[in-house]
Formats: sequence, structure tokens, C-alpha cells
Amino acid sequence: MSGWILIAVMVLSDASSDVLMSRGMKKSADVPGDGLVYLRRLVQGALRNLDLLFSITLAAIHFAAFLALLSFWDLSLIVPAGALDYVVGALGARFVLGETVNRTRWMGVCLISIGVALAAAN
Amino acid sequence: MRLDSVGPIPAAGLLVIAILAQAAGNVCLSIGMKDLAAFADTNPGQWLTVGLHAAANLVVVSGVALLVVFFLLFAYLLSHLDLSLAMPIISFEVVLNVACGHWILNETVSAPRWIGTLLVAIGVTLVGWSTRRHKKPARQKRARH
Repeated sequence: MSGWILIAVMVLSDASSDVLMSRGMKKSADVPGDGLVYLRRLVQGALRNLDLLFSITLAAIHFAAFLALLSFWDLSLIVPAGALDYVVGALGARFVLGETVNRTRWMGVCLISIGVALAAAN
Repeated sequence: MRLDSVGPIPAAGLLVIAILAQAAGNVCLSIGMKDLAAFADTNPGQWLTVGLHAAANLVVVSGVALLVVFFLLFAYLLSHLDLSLAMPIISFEVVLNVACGHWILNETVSAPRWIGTLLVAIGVTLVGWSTRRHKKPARQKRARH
């Protein structure tokens, strides 16, 4: 049971981290300059960007949950179960962000869900 | 070396290297974390000792280093490759990890788990293709202008 709680933590933190990273990078990448000046401004901007800081924190939580799972679960179960990330991503896109999710993506999400259920069945 | 100048096929080759580094990193971490859990059981409550043991564990350190290599290569390559090309390769990562679990870590992988893994890989590929299908009309629209 604690394994599935850690899977939930891993999947939710990863999906949230991706959303925040995407939003944060779009803000941070838009800085003027070339070469080292650009790099310095990019790092300075990233350190002040709350989206990026939260994204990195969530990525660290994701990694910690992954490491904890590896200490007592099989790699051959953790990796397929981690693909639930795509399911959360699609549901978040549709119901939180109100985006249109096309039929191909829903089919992919259904296959991933059935696949994870089968992988976890034994 | 600029990836733009060498085209998508060498870039896809680098992506394959990244996926191999990720699978090797996961195998190392799986071995290392199980060893660490056994060590923590024999040293209950001694978190500093366990932390130092982890930092000195070559398998754990190698696993983390390989995942860092994967992350850097992957992030760099994704900015040069079309997601619809990257996703099928990424989906192979799931199958590769389960295969490594079975053949290197001696994990028991039943027939339903193999079938489930393949379905997950196909599902991830479809999610990638859905992105390409989404992009097409935008390109046609730009071409008309």
C-alpha cells in the first residue's frame, strides 16, 4: 500500500513539475544578450522565478519518492507505473487547463492505464 | 558540434545513448537502494551513517551520475528534435527498464507485466503522435500566409 502512495507522490510531483517548468522556462528564456551575458541573466532570472524554483523542488520530491520505491519494489513495476504521469498530464490538460485533448491522446492514455493495471496485476 | 547541422538521425542516436544511460542508471540505483535499505535495517535510526554510506556507495553514485548524463542529454536533444520523433524512442525506455529488471536484476516479470509494459510503450508513443497531429494544421495555416 505504501508503495502505491509513493507512486502517487512520484506521478503527481512529476506532472506538476513539468507544468511549472514549462511555464517558468517560457518566462526565463526571454532575456536579452548573447553568450555569457545571456547565461548570467538567464541564471539570475531563474533564481527569481518562483515557477522554476517550485518545479525544481517538485522534481526533487519526485526523485526522492523514486529512490524510496527502488529500495523495496521491483524496477520492472516502478517504471511502467510511473507512466501514469501521462494520464495525469492529459487529465490536467483537459479538466484543469481546459485544453482540447484529441482522440489519439485519449487512446494513448487508455492504453497506458490498462498497461499499468496489467503490470501491477501480479 | 551543432545538432542542427548534423540532422535528426545523429540526434536520435544521441537520444538512444541517453535512454541507455537512463536504464543503466536505474539498474545501478535499484541495486544500490536495496543495499542501502538492508544497511539501514542493521543501523536503525542512524540516518547520518546511512547517508554517508549512500554517498560512499559507488553503485548509488554511478546511478545518480548516469541519470544526470541522461537528463542533460535529454533536455538538450528535446530542444533540437521533434517530439513526435522523440516519443517513440522515449517509450522504448519503459520496455528497456523492464528487460533490465528481468535479465540483470533477476526480477520476476510475468506475462501480464510484459503485455502491460508493451501497452504502456504503445500508449506513450500515441501521446507523442497526438502532439504531431495537433501541430499539422498550424503549419498549414502558416504556409498559407
